[in-house]
Amino acid sequence: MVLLTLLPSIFAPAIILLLTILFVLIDAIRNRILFNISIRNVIRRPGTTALVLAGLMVGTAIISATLVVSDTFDNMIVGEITETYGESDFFIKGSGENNGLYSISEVESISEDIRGIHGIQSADWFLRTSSGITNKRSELGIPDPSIFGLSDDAVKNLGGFKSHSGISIENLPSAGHVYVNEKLAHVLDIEVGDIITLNKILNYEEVRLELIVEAVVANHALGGLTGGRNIYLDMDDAQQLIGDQDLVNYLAVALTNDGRNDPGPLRNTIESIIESPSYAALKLEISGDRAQIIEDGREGVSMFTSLFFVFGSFSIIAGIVLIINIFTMLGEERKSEMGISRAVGMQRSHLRKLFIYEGFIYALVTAAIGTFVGLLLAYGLINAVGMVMDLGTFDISKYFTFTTTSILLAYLAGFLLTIVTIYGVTRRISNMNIVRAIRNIPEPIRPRNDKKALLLGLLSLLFGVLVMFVGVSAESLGPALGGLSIATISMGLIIRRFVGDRIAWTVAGLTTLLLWMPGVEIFPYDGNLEMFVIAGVFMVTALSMVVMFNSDLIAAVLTRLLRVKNGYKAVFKTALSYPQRVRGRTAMSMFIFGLVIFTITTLSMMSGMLGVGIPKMLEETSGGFDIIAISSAPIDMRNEIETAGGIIDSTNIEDIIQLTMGYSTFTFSPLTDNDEASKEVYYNAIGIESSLYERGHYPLANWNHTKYSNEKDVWLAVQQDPTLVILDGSANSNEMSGTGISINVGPFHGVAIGDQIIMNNSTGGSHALTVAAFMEQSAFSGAYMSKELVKSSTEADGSNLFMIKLVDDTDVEKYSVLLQNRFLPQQLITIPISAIAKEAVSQVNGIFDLIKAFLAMGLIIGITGLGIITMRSIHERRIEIGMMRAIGYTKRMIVTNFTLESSFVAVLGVFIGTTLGIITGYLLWDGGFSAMGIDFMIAWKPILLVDAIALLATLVTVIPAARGASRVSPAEVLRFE
Amino acid sequence: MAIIKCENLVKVYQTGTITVEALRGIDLTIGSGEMVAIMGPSGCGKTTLLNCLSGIDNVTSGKICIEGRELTQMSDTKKTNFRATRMGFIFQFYNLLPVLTAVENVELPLLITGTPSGDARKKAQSLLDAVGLSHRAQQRPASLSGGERQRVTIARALANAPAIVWADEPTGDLDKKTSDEIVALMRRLNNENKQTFVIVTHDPEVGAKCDRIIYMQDGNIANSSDNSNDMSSGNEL
Repeated sequence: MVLLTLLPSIFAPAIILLLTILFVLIDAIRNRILFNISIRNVIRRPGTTALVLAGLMVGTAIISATLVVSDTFDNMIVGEITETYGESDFFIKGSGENNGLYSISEVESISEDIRGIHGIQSADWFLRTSSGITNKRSELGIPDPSIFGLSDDAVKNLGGFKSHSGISIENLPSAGHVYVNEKLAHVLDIEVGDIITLNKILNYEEVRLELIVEAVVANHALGGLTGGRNIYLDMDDAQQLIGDQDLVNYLAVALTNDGRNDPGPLRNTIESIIESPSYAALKLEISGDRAQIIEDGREGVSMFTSLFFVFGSFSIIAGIVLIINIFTMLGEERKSEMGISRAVGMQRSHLRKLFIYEGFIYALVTAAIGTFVGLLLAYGLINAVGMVMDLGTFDISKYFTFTTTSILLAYLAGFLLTIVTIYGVTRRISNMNIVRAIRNIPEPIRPRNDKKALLLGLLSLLFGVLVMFVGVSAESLGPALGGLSIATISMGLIIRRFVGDRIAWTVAGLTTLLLWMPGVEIFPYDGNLEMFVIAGVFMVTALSMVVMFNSDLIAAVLTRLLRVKNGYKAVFKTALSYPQRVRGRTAMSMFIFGLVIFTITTLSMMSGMLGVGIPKMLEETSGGFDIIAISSAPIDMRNEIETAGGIIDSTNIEDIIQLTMGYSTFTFSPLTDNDEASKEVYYNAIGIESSLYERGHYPLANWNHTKYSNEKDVWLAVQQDPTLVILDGSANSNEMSGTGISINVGPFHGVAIGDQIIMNNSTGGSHALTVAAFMEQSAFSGAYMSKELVKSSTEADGSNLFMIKLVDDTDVEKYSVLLQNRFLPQQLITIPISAIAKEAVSQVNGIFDLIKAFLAMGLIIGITGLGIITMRSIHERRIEIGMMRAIGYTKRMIVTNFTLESSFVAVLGVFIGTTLGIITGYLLWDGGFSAMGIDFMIAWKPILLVDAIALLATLVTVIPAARGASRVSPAEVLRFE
Repeated sequence: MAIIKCENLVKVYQTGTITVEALRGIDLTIGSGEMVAIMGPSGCGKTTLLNCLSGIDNVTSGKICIEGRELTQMSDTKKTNFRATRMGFIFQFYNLLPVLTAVENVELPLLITGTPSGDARKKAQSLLDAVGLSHRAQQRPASLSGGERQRVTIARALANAPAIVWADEPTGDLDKKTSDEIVALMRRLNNENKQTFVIVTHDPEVGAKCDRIIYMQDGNIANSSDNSNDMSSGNEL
């Protein structure tokens, strides 16, 4: 992300890359012999080289995929908005009297004034309304298409239409005819020549128009306006639907090309015109701004790509650790030859250069492969998004694109990531005792009283404390808790002097882990999404330390528990002892595995809880009803169905509760937000009747228990007292404790029981309401109050919100459609709760699965790492294998030995990741999901499935290498090596 | 009674285009409880002979019988199990597992053959006691001296009370004093346990302390000298 902001242009990454390559190449030419050795080192073991390349390229692939996904979404945003806006740049509409409808003569001068501004191409008024629609032939109908009444000028100025076959249409349909866009035609199976019926209730009278479809237009330019299902007709025809031949409600403004380059000042000029004293009374405002929407869309996309970056960063971190592991092992493998090189006169700096040149070659190649793999991965992801999300006819894959800047940035990031990490590792590799290196004698264990370790511990402690204070002074949770964690981990290096390694690292690890545990809140600051990465890295590090320094105990317990028989006792002993000997590489492998499994487990926990929680939330929202329905015009649904049911069989309907819902603004002073004196929010005002709480199940989360003895009393009081209100559960905002991640779940955040909120009437007056209770459910948002108050304060009149319970086993989705069709003129929109729940769960799980699949790249890192370790460990222990074979290990025992050794590391990593993932899942639940009414649960099935796949993949990678080990000839290795 | 018998043993190595005849039709018999040294110049085939006789290397042709069983006809698994129960090995560079303690290294062959853990540990302790290292039982190889490591290797070789102990340059990495101690230890164990010791060595002093010396030259047995009268070991030839 930092790179993205620092290097906005294509030139910056290209220059940095070229300079780095040039610098290394010049140095390589000056040290040609070293460079030659490095090249030969790269090609001397093709198998190892292939594994190294695979391991190194994963980080780049993740960066590349994320950038390309971002490019594609950006392309989609711009493309979709271009379609939705046609040639228009601004839409202006009003909230004046008569529902924002204005007579043409009243507003014609405004469009003329705007057309006079330099940079404005056109300004045309049009009418946008809605009604029910039915296709006579197919008998399909929907309640809410957008209907556009246009003038000839508007059609020309706003880009015109394109027919299905791509022919431009620049005129309006003839009288009595309409155009429909592809989206609507698809839903209602409309063909050219079909007769459609538009009907709606206007002033309690049904208006009905029959029109012929003249063309089906592409979802492009005017055809794509608002991105919805649209009908286009002559302004006069459209005006029949609102009962007045002179009214319009939208002004579309198009800019010239120059104007589009800098639309900000033009917007200001337009605003100054519509807010000028001559027009202020019309209460016009800019309701759509192409540039602004593109910017907002990009912001939304950047949040989405941030999510990929955040989750992907776990894999990138795992990739960095793998690079360290790979090069540390390459260093160990070549220790003897490096010792000889030092003995014959090579400097340490020469040895470092050997590895830097080698790393340079790897970085050049792996960054290219990684970038390309990322490109393919992004393509797969984009297509998967299309499959996972219910996008209807929308084809996201057509927007797949990538910019040269992104490709260069991905390459540069991958290249630098590799080369910088390798540069860091070479320092340690080149630091050796020449005699020990030549004779391949293991490095001595660092003694307790090692001064270097103590000094390093003190410096790290100091660094951690400094970072913590930076965090405290900035009131930022990341550095504060991260700094404290560095300090507690550093304690291990200090106290080992007094208590030995096992106790020191166990204490340091457990203390660090404790900082992140549920219920522990050290710093009362907010965090953000990055906290997830910081928490993950520190928790996995801490538990890896504890497990590593107690792995001998774990191994002993395992051996005892598994009741190993016969010669395999010896195999267990040797297999479980080796990882403890090479603690550094074991810890790194465990960390890689742990980190990746941690992320996937956490995501599984989240998707598992949401998968169960969302249907539950929706069930709570429904209050036990099957369908929620909202109409534009009032309906006496109960009566109409019973007396003139039509297509609805009233015996299948068990209950209908009729409510009145309006829309209003509310003003209140939040208790928790000190920056704002008061807040104004738009919200639903829902008028209740006794049947809602008597026959529906809408539990209250919180109310004044001293005033009301039970929930029914609260509802009754609110129903009867126009000064009381019940708010939905979203007013109860929560922060994710521990992680500091906060979720603002409702605009009434900060309101408490007993507080007053002000409801602003449509007539200009206001009304004070006291908050009597909060509901459990938060999905069906609204301020619940007396029906009379809603009627008097908003424009709602009669019943327009319905809770419908069907007889058991009735097809909910079918009745949902039937009800819509029955009340098409009233534009009834139905929400079948169970179908929505199913769809929502499928989409949530789909997105989580997508991110998990993305993260599975990290598993490749872990498994590649273990493969490399196994190969390395076989190579360095050939003589041991020979001896083992000589004293009686069968080939199968050798295979078991090496498989068990790698599996032990993988199992510990999986255990660490799974445990911490479940704990983090609990943290997320405790901090946010629980407030949303979601129960805590552990999604064992997907978690164990991922664990099993990880272990299985490990076995598949390790067993061939282990079989290779079993084929080692004892006579040869004991004699010649 | 012959415990090791080989007839017309041939071993040919193929290294690229070069063919090396390491053993050129060896006939050899070693008696049970005998302590035999195999000597000769570098490259004469001493270690190859030991590897072939012990079954850790395959022969090109010929026949090997150990305790009356034909090793050359056995499958790899059978040969491995036979080695585990009837043979012990001592190597020049000890080849102890660095991750295990001295006592764990000694008990390893016992565990391989399915001895219960408790019994294996007791036996390993007593073997370390026998080689004078019981006080170093919990040390890892890295913290033992060369002589101590070789004692651990000898204890490990004796763990399953093998009929034959193969030793390839057991004193090659040791100073004179330690070397003498190690050979004396092997001699004592040979006398006490009546186990057959076959030792490959360059050191004439080691050979002199054996019952018999077999001299090799260019893949053949050049001659054999009997020290048993000098040694007064009473071993059966």
